[in-house]
Amino acid sequence: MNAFVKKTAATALVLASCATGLMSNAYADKDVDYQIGGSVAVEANPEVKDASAIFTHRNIDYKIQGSSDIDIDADESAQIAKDLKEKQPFRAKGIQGKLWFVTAELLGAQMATLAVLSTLPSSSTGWGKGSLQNIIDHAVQGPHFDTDPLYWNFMAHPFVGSEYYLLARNRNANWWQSLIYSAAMSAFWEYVTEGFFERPSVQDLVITPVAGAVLGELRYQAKEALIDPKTGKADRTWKKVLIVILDPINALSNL
Amino acid sequence: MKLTLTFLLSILLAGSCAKMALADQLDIFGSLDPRNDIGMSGKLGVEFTPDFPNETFLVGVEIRGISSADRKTRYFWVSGEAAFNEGVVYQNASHRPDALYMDLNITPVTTDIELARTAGGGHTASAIRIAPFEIKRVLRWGTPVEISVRAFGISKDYEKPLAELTPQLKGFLQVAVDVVGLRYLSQATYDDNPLWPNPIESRYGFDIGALKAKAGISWDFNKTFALRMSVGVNADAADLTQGGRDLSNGLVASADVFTRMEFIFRHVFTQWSLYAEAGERARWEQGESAFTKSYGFIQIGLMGQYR
Repeated sequence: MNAFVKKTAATALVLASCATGLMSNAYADKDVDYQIGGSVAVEANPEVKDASAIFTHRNIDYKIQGSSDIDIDADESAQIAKDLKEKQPFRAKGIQGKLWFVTAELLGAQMATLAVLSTLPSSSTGWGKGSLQNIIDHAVQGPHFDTDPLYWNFMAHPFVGSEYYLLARNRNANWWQSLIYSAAMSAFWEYVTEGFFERPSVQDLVITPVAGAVLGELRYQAKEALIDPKTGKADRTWKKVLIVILDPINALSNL
Repeated sequence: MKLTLTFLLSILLAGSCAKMALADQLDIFGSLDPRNDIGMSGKLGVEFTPDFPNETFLVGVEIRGISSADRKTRYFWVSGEAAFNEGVVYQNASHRPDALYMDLNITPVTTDIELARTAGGGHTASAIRIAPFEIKRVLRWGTPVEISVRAFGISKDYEKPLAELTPQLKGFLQVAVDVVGLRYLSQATYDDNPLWPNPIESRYGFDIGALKAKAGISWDFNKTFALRMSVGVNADAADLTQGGRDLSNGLVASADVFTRMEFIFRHVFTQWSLYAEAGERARWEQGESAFTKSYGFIQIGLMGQYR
């Protein structure tokens, strides 16, 4: 009898414990309401005294613990984003040293192009006769307004600017570092490479880095949305194809 | 009647006192705090162009009012832009010196603003403008006066964080479209000399509409400082009849495309923006060569807003 009572009591206790545990978990799970939009935000039922929750967002498990009223504002969203980045081991920290190698390659290519163009007749290049002295003379004269067609100033230049921007952004530079890089590369082209033949253009000096940053950041974010945040790679073929379309030069350099 | 007249006069007075200057007509919903009855903004800047006059000073004020019980309906909205050419004396089509460039926009009534705040600091907003009214004079185009009264306009404003990894980075799109109306154009026949245009000829007809759009990205360093970069387009078109001996009937359209960078400082109800804008303006008239004339421009200025 005693043994029966003890066994029954023990079983009841275990079941009660399990039920209590399950109920408390169920209660916590039931009352936590997740709102995940463009950024991470969680709201808990105010009646819950100690809420804890795990949610999965873009394949990353994220744990939220807090008091009765979890309300994540913009600052906390930034902290969450920072934590989220730390959960992605494929993300290197700091600007990759490869950026300077790529920059040297690009400037070398510009100089080589310049050397070839300077041997061609000006009727085929649209530029006047080039000389090293021109670089200094044109810099002293300062920028002027060009009369290039609209598609050249507002399509070709922003595209090139976005390529400059992505060169840095793809190598772990943040947005403002990439913007400065794009502006510097654009200024180098205007004052040195193109300065060999003609004066720098006012429109190009502004439009190339600014519109380039807008286009470049949109291309970068579109690419980011296509990759698996756990591995840093696209998991579907169509995503891989889209990434190549969005950033063909980077895809080529990664071959 | 008295109330209506007072109201109309107050609009005109506000416009005149403000020297008709436009701050940023598209930055409408995101910057106006619905708790305030009135929003004001002003601009001081310089514009450089390759065309005469090469340097012009831009001064402007924009006034917006909310006066409904629910604080959602704007009962007036005046904006405009004036360009002063310091030290330059030139003549307009009527041979009077010192004529100013001007662009004045008046929207008598805006319908309820539907504003929704979204997670991460984004928002969506929209409104309908009733009878937007625009007066322009652009002597580079040889147009001493151009008046458009359109039936209505739609404004949309979207802003949202681009990615959860960078919540401080937001994308935005602002669009304003005004459609169907009447346009009167007092036009000097253009002969490549803005100093001595030919006598004015009047044209009038059907206004097809106007589009103002801007899209870009903004980075919030913190709650006080931000950087905003965008590309945008302004365009309008009309089908004008009548005209003088050299002006054929047909389409008249103008457009400008621009790139803009703003460094923003926010403090309580004020917002200051140091901006640089570069772009291209063009005017096209049917019957002549496409894009009769175009030129590049760059603006640098300071814009302040009380919202």
